[in-house]
Amino acid sequence: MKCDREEVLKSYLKSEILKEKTGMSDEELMSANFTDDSGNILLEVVKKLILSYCKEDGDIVVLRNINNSLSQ
Amino acid sequence: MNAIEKKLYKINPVYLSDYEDMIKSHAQFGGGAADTKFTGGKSFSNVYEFYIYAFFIGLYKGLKQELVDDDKTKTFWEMESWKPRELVDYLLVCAIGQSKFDMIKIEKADDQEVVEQVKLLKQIIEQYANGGLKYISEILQEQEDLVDDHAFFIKMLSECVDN
Amino acid sequence: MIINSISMKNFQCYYGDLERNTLIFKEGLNIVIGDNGAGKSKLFDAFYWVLYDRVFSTDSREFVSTNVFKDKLISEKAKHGCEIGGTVEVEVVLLAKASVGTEFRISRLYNAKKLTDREWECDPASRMMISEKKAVNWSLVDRAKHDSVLRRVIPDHLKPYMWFQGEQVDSLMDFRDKTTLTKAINLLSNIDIYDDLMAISKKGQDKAVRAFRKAQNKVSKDKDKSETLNSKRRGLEERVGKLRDSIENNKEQLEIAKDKIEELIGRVDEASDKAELKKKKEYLEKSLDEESTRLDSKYNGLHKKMFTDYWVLKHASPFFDNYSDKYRSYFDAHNKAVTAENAQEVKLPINIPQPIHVNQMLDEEKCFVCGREAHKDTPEYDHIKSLLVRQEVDAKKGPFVNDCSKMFQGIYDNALGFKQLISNIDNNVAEEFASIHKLIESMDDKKKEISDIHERFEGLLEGDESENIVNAFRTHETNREKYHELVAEDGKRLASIESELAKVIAEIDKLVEGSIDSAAEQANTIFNDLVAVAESVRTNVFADLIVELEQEANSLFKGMSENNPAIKGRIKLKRISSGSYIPVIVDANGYIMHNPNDSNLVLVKLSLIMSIILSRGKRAERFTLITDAPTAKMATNYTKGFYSVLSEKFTQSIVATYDFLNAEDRSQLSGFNMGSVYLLQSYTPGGDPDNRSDLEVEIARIA
Repeated sequence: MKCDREEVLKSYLKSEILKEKTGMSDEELMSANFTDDSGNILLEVVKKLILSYCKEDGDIVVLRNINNSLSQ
Repeated sequence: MNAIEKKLYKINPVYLSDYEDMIKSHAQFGGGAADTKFTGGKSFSNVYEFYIYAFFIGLYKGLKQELVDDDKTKTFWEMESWKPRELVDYLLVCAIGQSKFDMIKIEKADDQEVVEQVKLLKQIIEQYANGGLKYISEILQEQEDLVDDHAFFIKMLSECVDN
Repeated sequence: MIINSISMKNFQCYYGDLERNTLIFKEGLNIVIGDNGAGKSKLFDAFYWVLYDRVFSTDSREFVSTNVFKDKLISEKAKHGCEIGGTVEVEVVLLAKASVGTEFRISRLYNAKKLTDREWECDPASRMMISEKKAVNWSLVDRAKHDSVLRRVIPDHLKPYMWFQGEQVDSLMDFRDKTTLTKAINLLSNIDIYDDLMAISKKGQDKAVRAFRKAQNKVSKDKDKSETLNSKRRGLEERVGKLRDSIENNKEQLEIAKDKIEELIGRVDEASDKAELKKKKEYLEKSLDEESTRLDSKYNGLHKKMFTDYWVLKHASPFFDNYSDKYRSYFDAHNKAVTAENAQEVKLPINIPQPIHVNQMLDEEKCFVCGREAHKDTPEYDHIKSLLVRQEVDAKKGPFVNDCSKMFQGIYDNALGFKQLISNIDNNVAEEFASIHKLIESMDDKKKEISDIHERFEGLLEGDESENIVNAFRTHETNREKYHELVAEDGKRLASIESELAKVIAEIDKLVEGSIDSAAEQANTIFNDLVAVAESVRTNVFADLIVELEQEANSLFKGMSENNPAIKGRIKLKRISSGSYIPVIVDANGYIMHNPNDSNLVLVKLSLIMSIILSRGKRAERFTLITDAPTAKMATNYTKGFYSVLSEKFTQSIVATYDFLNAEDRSQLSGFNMGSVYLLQSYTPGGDPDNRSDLEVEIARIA
């Protein structure tokens, strides 16, 4: 099934666990998008995961992309 | 706090290794929030709590266990870390009352003599505590299903007769 | 894609050329009406065969490939009319049109050579050809692209749910199989995306944890001990995993037991008694749970009170009295010493000069006692000076090396303050035990009441049903209690092991000397968080899907049953474990309906299938629903609702059915979004209806 990355990101942004772990407010989370850097490491990793997966990268490439973003 | 007071709270009483398993079964070792300790099924949040409890059982029942140099013993926390402090102070009151600790002598004592006096207190604490541990251990060995009794330790306390 | 037409040549009962056996379809509800044996199922076979090279075998009740079916594929009449040594050609052609306007022609050919009256030499395999027409001309589609074209007609994962025969409905949505619904949801929704994201996160977590432990071990002050502890940690984590699985399984079994009980209760006819008893039972069970939690809390708190409420001092008063006596003696002695010291400060021993004289001696550098000279920096001078210093030091110290009066007073006052509290301990303990006892009594009463209700249910069941049912009821009740206890026990064990695990992890952390590689530490934290988030998102998305499905299914079901008061119940998707749901039909009071009539059941299953198809994506717009006799098990007055929903929700549907054989019945279709309507009739031109080698199908378009 084709991946609608906006829809997937939306599902993640609704997560209470994400809210708790990032410490971000509802407003901050709802306004998150793929373009702007939120400044929160976990949220950026989530975005990287979704972006890379929806581009149909393999698991190894997805993880590499995430680890690269962590080391930045 | 004067030097004597510091030394008293630095007392680090021991228990016989024989009681280690029993203590581990009923007391939470290490740190952590008190709530989680009770979820784990242990009656005492810390080893010192069990020790304090055993001291009072020994005291109420008049049971002392002498420790000798050859005995294998275990240490845990110094008394200054025990809580609540008010309870620890009451324990000291009982220990002083029951021992040969000389309240007058210690005020004029030199360092050597202070060490001796503090040792007397440590000994009495250890004797009653290990006496209490021995008693508890014997009861638990006799009736193993008592461990399932949620109120076992309270009931044991209630059964002690006022001296 | 929309299916424009299907044409058959010598395919099973469809004797003759392609032009003779062509059905043209439009958007909307296309109905192909035919009595039993008219060729409806063979028409469905034709769709399947042209795309997948398979037909449904009525013998084995499964799809079989052409090279198994062989000459059974061929029209009997065509076989009969073929001379020995001649060849019969079987062909089916499907014309479809994509939304962008491209047309596709999918055809499949199969030849067989007649060797004798009974023996045929068939092609080893059929051949498929696909052509496409974008503007005017047809061009062949490369074999490598065939699969992609077929998927545009109907994707593989949708096939079972959009192209099905009526007799498959039961297995598609088998209510006895807990995996059917979940399987369908997993297949037809986008939940697999969230599954994949979760799986990738977990892979990342595994790697990050390994790297972190390695980095941690590197800076351990006791590497051997670290290794041992890590091994212990892994063992504990494994046990935690197993216990969690066990708890899930037991919860599932608990739900199944509860379900069975509900089902049995549902059989009881006394609706009002049933409702009242059920309500009471639910209230009692909830209340019992709450009291059980309170009791646990009280037991947990009991031993705590020995320290927070000082119960441990219950018999301590006499020992305070001992201290009091000792303290009194000390106090008197201490004060005497203080008093004596104060007196001493005023009176010096006889042979020591007063301080004023000592100062004078120092000034004049002469001892007044012995008359000798005592110049500065001489031993005599220093001796005189030392008399002055000793007095000052003695004045500061007082009579004690260590004045413990404050401490002894302090602990005395502290202990005195406990006097009142200690005298109340007996009462407090008694009160607490009384409260526990009261709680236990209340719980026992409730348990008895619940047990009485069970007996009454049994009684009601006995009145209506056989002894087997009552025994089944008792068995499920026993199971329910058993699994409830197992879940609780496992829960406690899990908490204990998790607590031990936390302790081991803390011990490993304590061995760390210096700082762990920050990158490894960060990755560990982030991936742990990522997994937690991914798992929760997957659970939430699935739960939302279930809610959506239930609503959609009930909306469809309502639409299908609107004009039929005989249809009862509504669909409920019942959770039996994490990620596992079963569909049940409940009545207005929420009881599971036992043996709803077959028509009811089929409608519910069809509602569920359609709701899954309609839930996400534009499947109903993009793909055709093709079904053969879906309403076979339904009574006539149940079917109208089904067709109404089809015509409303699907851009194109093709239904082969024996409904509407009667022309009057077809009037029900007015107002629907109709495509073509065909009437199939099998016949034998020679007049002998039993002569299968003369069998043909007449296809008449009636709308």
